[in-house]
Amino acid sequence: MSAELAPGRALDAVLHLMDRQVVDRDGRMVCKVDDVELTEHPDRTWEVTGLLAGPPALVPRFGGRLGRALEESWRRLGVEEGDRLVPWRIPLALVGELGSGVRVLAARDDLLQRQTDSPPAPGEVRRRLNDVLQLEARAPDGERLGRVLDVRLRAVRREPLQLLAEGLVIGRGRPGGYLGYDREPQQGPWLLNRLVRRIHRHSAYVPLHDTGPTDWEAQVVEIRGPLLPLDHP
Amino acid sequence: MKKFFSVALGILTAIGGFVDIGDLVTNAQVGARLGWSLGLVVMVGVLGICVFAEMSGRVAAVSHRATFDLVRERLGPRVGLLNLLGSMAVTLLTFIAEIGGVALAIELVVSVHYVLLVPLVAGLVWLILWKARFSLMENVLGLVGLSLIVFVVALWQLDPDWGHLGSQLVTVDKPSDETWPVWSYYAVALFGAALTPYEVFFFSSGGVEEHWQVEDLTTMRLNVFIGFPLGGLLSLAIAGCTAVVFGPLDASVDTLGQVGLPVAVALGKLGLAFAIIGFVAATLGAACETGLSTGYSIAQYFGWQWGKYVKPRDASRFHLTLIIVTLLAMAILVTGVDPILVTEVSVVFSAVALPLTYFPILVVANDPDYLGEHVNGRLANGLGMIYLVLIGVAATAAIPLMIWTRMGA
Amino acid sequence: MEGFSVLARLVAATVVAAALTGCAPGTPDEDSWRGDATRAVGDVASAVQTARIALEASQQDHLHHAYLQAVLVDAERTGGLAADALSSVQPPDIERRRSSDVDDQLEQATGLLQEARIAVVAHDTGEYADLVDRLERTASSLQQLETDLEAPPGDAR
Repeated sequence: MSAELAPGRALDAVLHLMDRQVVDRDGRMVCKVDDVELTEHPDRTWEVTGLLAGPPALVPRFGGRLGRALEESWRRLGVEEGDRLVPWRIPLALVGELGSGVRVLAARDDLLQRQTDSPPAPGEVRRRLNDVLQLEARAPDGERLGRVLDVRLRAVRREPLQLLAEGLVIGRGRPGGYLGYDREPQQGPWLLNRLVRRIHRHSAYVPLHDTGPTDWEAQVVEIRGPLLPLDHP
Repeated sequence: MKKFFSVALGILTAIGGFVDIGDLVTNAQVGARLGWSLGLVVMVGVLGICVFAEMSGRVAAVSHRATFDLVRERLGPRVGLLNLLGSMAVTLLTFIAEIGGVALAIELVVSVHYVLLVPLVAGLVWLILWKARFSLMENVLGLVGLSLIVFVVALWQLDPDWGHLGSQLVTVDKPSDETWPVWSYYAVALFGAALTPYEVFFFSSGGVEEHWQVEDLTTMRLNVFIGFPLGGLLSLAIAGCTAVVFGPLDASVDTLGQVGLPVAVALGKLGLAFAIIGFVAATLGAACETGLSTGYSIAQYFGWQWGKYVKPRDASRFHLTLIIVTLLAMAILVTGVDPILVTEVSVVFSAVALPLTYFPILVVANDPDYLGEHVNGRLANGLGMIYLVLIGVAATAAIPLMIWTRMGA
Repeated sequence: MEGFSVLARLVAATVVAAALTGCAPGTPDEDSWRGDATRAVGDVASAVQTARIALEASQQDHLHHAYLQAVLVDAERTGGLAADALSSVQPPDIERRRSSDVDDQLEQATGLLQEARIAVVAHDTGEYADLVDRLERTASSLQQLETDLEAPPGDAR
């Protein structure tokens, strides 16, 4: 369904943004949302600032040995290029509509620019959504609570679009995490729903203000508040 | 009136488009060896393709997303890539079989060895994919493929023992000289031939190509629920024809020439001409569909512009893919590999690959974020779950049965 | 890492499956020879029957010449392949005598298929009636042979 991005609407970055088709203002296809650029402001708020595309964005998501091997092959196919491993970027401000696809307000010719062409403001740090998804969630006493499965976003402005991160979806990262059943108790078929929800029964929601500092080196995020039941954004 | 015409056209093309080289060969083989004892499997397969084609068509009409978009969105890039490789392998195999099938069908008329015809056929397929309008391609080949109805007439003319065929059909009464593993092997092959994954890739991408909207849902459903079952009827007729002519002689069917022979026996030269035209149109149509499907799947995984609704220069990577797969199929066929063997392998591997395609469709057809109020109802979900189990069984059993029965030998 | 090993396993499984289906026959025990022989005789009989049906249909002017030719060329090829496949299988000692009998009959049948193909390509329509008769007789003797082969040696007839 093509939904209006009314201010106040919430969505989950992996479930509703990642891997979607990007379409230009004339309906021509541009690329997939291979990853999402998250900017960490000095006041520790997170904001979506761009969509990333191309093999340098996609390949690391394969993870592990396969991801590294593919990334290295991709580099080796063009060792002369200094920006070989820098993904393409579409600034979020160009995004007009988020539905079953992502519509941008420009034509697709010359649309994609390297991410390094537009550096972040001083004091801001850019992450990729995929890096956030590698984080392990731990309680202050060190107890392991699972992994970050998704980032809940809220549209705070429509033109230009501004998406702020609001919370994290935490869970065990078992198969079937992209199917959407963990967030939608009514979605059928009933049997499949029960099965997938049982596999993901540990999934929970944590508002961002209940999380402590993130250790990007050790890939750990501290969870300070209680785990809330997961529902549809 | 115009609306009626478009519905009728859609139904007719669905009939002609359902039967491809896999259906032709597998049904003829099964008819000769097992009569109509696998007729119920054909019907179960046809209902299956109806259920899933309707879901994928509905998703395409409401959300404008084709099947491989959903595969990547719902399974993630890694499993999605594995899925892409598996589905591509099967679709490419089917594409090779279809091009070989067109060449074999033309060989029946011109007495030139099919290998020499392969480059010609591949060139023709590519030309259609490059030049022809989508609707023109679908309608012309689908309508001409309708001449396969001659098999229904031939079966009537052969005047079989209807009671015997009917009781075989209803009671799953296989001939006593065949074993249950062989019966099961052919059951899986027929199931795979009826539900070939490219059919939904093509159907859903075609819906996006033709800019289906929510208002087109009724038309889409009529096409699916009338067109495919009538296509299934053609399958049964083909099996019936070979059952009557080859069954009593214990002869097996291994060539396309044998598939048409019952029509010649029953109706003579004119009927045979219809059958050959039907073979050419059905396999050529399926060659275009499978060729496009390989391009659709790859482009939808990587997010490239695809489709024939834009000019080739606006979808250059898509068209480059089509050129590469056509050249690849041609290169493989000119080695002299038997297209019938490729067909037999392709339908079995289709059965293996079925869950890769149908599971994500079932999930997304339930997702209100994509479909809003048009999500699956109870009937679609009930059938969907039953078929998910059947598909799982067929996929697991396919390769063991193939080894055990030595491909039904 | 996980994806890699899944892929590797898939490839391995496919290779094994292909290898198994590719080289199923081979061991020269009695049952397997009988199975191979039955299958080969059945396949040659199919080819002979197909050629006969096509020639008959052609006599009634039900077939174009090109189609008839394609069917006969295919019949000769599939019959020849089946006979060749069997001739390279080592028969067990106890089946020696029947093996040479089978080889003879298959050779005769494939020879007949060749003869039929030659006549058709040469448009020798006068020969068709005679060929149909001989193909029919060959088919029924092959069918008899196939039935005999289903029993172990000695039990036959």
